[in-house]
Amino acid sequence: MAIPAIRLEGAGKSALEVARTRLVVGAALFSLGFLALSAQLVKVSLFETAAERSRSSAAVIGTPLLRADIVDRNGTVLATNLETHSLYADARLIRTPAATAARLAAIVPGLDRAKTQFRLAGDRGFVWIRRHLTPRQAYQINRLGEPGLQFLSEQRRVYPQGEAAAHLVGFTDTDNSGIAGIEKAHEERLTADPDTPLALSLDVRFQHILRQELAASMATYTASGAAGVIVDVDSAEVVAMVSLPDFDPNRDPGRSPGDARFNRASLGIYEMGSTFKTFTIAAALDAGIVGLDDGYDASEPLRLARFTIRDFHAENRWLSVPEIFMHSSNIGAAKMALDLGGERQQAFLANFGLLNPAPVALPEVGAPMTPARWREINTATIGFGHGIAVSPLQLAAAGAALVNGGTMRTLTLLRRDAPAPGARVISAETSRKMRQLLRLVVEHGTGSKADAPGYLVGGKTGTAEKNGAGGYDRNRLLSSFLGAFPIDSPRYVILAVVDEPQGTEESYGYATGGWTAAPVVGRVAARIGPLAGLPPRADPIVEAESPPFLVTPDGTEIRLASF
Amino acid sequence: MIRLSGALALVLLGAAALALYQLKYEVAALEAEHIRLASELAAEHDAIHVLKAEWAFLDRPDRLAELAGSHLDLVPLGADRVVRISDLPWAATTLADAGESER
Repeated sequence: MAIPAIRLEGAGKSALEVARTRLVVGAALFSLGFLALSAQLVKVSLFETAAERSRSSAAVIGTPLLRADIVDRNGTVLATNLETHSLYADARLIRTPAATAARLAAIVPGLDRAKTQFRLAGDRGFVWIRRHLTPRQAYQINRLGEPGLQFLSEQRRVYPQGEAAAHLVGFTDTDNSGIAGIEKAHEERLTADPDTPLALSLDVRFQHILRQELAASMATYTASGAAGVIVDVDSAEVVAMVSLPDFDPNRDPGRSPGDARFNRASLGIYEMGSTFKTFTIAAALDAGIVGLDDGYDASEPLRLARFTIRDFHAENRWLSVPEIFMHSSNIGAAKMALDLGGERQQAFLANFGLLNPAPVALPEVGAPMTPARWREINTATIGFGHGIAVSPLQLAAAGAALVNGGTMRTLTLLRRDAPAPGARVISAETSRKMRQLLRLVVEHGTGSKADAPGYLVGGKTGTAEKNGAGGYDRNRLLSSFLGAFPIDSPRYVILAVVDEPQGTEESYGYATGGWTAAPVVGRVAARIGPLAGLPPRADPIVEAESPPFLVTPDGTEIRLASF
Repeated sequence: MIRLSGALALVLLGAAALALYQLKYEVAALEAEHIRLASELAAEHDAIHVLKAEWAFLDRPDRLAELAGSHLDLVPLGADRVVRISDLPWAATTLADAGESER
């Protein structure tokens, strides 16, 4: 069987040739395409890197946070966001407004039944019933099976520590915008980077201890309020800041009384009284106007213009500089301030940040009250802490610079991971002398109740009469104690302020700084010492080679501690 | 020859189609598993977040102090209860070095 030979000639042949060529070209194109596909397949399945393959699993995990957490220096949560359910109704779908309102009122406490019924009876597609319900309430409402009631998942700010740091952390409104404290001051940071917690300088443990001791003193002396600050002297970090009375930021803080929301530690400004003598003496020592062996005649009240300056614990004799500090002599401090002069005093206080608002990022920072014209009488009274009003936060920061060797660093409420630069404000030698004097007040003077065995507290008491309508009021006091420990090489400055304390039988009717605020500082030091890892130590050796500056009637020689 | 290669191509085509079908279903199953795991992970993350808040709430110093006061016989650590190794009588001779490095 032979295949008959077919021969095409002429036009028929050339048409076949063209068709064949076209087929070859088409086949080649297809082959190329499939080759490219195969190559891609091999590449994807064999040579793709792991990073590219896991692209899909790198998607957002969990509910995205709307606002960053606020944590303390050790990472303990101070503020965080939790998901809550908010109830709204489509009023058009509610058939029995009266019954629904009644059942809702039984589940949600404080819901106005008549008002809810009115709103449910309308024909709006969206009416808020109640925002931020608890899971239990949401469950119970779900069980009602009413199709017109629906939930919207929202985030709500919660403060696990409750009252403990309420003033500092602040709070947000219903829509999660900060309206007080750190929440307001760092609003931008908290919303811009919600996945990184904001670490404060605060230590929750220190905060709790300070709050507890202040509350105890406030209760004992039926005071109207109290404030306290603990500052790390080397880093100028605020590790505790308390203002009493306080409030629970979880329970509609906007409705708590204004007095409770008032931050006495940063916004309140007070005439601090004798604690200011610390700065007068430091200024005089640093300027070389007096030495520790010099003194002033305090035998008679000092008359200046139409004022008379008297001593509270009058000694009526010549007093050495350490005695002026120890007995808290107004006359001595005023005379020293006059010797220093207004200009130098002003410059000194400005260096310690006492003439400007505390440089911290808080909406609640009080501006100090200083004399408009710095006259001689102002210089004298500011010498013992009257005629100038500062916030406790400012005073604590200044105290830190006084005892840390003389370096003023910018105060901060955020955790500082790198050492902060500072400016020298007094010489290291003056700082050492001040520490000796502060120790003296606790060992032999008005601050003896601040003593904490093993932790070497040093400090200065202050008792100021508050300025009322008719001048200074003897019965409305502001008692304070500015302390540091361990005083030979301080770690922390502790300031306690008790507002309007009343004397008790145990205190023989006294409500002075020595009775009300000094014990707070002593107890706080004794409790935070072990937490801070400070080993307790014996009292420092008294400087034997220095002459005693005072011999008490029973023959005890009082000398300065040596460190 | 042409017939053989044609048959081979047909078999290969069938095998490829079958493999592709199989693969497609496997991928779909894996994707479903991935979505399930991812949502589980998200739920765990949310739970961890809530638990952290709860932990902070239960770990409040005032609450711990209250519980310790009612359930434990512990007292606050006073300065008189802390002693340095070097202050112990035998420390100076034998254990001083070991104690110092431990502390």
